[in-house]
Amino acid sequence: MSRFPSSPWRPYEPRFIFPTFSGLECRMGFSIPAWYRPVDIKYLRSLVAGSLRKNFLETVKDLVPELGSLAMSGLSKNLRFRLHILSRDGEYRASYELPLSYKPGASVDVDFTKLLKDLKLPVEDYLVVAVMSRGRMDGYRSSPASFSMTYIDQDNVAIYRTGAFARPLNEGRLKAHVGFTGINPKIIATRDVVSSLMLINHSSDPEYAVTAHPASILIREDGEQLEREFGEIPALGAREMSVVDIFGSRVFDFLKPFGGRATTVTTCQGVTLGSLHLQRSNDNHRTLLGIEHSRPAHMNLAGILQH
Amino acid sequence: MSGDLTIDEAVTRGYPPAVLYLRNDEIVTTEVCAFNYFSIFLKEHPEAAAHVWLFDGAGNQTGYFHKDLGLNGQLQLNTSDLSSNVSGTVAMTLMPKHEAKVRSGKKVTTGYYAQYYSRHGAITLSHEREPVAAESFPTSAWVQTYLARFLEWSGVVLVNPCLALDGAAVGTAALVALDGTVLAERTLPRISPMGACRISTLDLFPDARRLVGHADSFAMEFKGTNIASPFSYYEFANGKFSLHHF
Repeated sequence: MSRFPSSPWRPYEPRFIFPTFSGLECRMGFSIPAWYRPVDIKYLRSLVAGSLRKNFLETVKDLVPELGSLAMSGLSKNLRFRLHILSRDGEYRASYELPLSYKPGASVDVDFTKLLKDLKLPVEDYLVVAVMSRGRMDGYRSSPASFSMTYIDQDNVAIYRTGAFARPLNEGRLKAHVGFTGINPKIIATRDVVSSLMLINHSSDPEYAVTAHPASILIREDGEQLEREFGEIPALGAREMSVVDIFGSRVFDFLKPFGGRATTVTTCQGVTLGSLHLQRSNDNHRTLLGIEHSRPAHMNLAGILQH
Repeated sequence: MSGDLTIDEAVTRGYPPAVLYLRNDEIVTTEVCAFNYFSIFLKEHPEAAAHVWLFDGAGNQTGYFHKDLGLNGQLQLNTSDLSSNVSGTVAMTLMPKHEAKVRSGKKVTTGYYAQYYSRHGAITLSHEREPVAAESFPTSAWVQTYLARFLEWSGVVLVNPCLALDGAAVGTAALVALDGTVLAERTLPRISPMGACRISTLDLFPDARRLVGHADSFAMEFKGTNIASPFSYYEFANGKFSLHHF
């Protein structure tokens, strides 16, 4: 049985999945660049070229609904946004469509603290899938700019920004992954600060059902390591674990000779994961000080022959 | 120092350093961190070297550092040890120690992070942004939302990652309402190659508070030539500094 009451997104609609945190003011912003057009000759050429690399049926399946939707909208440049709210275990909670459509140059700004209250959802940590009606119709299959997540915790403002994508992801029929390698060289475990990793078991398939079981290695500057299971992550769910949660309180002594700094390398076979890095205060409040998404390091090596 | 590499040479060899904002002063300290991912993805040749160049706001080089990284090696560099009073740029490249062949017309980019430590235990962080460019490049409009209630504490950092001698960054800034209405527009100060400029919203648009009015949020847009992805920032009266790329 589907976790969603109706189809939550079409394959060509870019999606961005992000966490909300109970007790924090959480805001999502997105500014549509003034230059944005849903389609132009360059985009269309790239789209057709990319699609023709697949078989004919896949090409038709990809292109017809998207171009049909564009034609039905009267080639409108305006974008619409829907939000699907899930528990951190990937269970569906609610959906909401923003009442307005937004033209190039305009910005979306959603206060989730207020929205979750309006939707009468209990005060909990959630995952949200933001779906935009279309994005760049080229090989990137992405939003035309980055979404901005702002988390305000007491007088700390933590922000991360990244794009939405309409590419196949953890969807066996379309895209099988060898695995995930997440590298975080910004780990801190000191008297004042403790780093966390949040891994998101995302997918382009609303019916995705694979549970992820990552493992993490903590590496300090002299090469000494600790290795532990990260813990399981349900499909379309997320899990935040501090380095103390993963490796135990001995992590402070382990990293003390190196200023509390280290790197984690987290791996998971068969699926790819979204990865966020959080810096939190090492006190009872665990104030969110900073947040950033990780980038796939292997992409940097694309220019090297035979790697 | 033996083993020193010029930034031009790194670009020529196909390993353009990636650029981030650099700030070391009485409020903020910048640390650069990276892991030798060659040891994961090129297991036969795991050795690499990290090269770091520091520039002031006018694009003058103020520091250089390099470190050999072996299997699972990492860099945790406090840049204030190299350049203690600076608002400029940091550029870093990871290069394999063996002669890896770079595909014709391609380059090898570098992934790393900077962490900015400020008062009262605040930390903000960013992954690397654009690689150094040998030639001038146009910048399409970068635009992001800001919280209006922090307008007085907000601003932008603009970075010029172009290395060309005639590659100054020039452009315009716009203050934009959420519905897309341009409330104000102005020319940006010129930024020298490899330089940076940190400007508060009120220095850019002294009338911003009145123009934004009672809206919860507003946006700022930056476009021109040789402007890398800008960084929005909030710097509060207590010295807490929060920064992030657009």
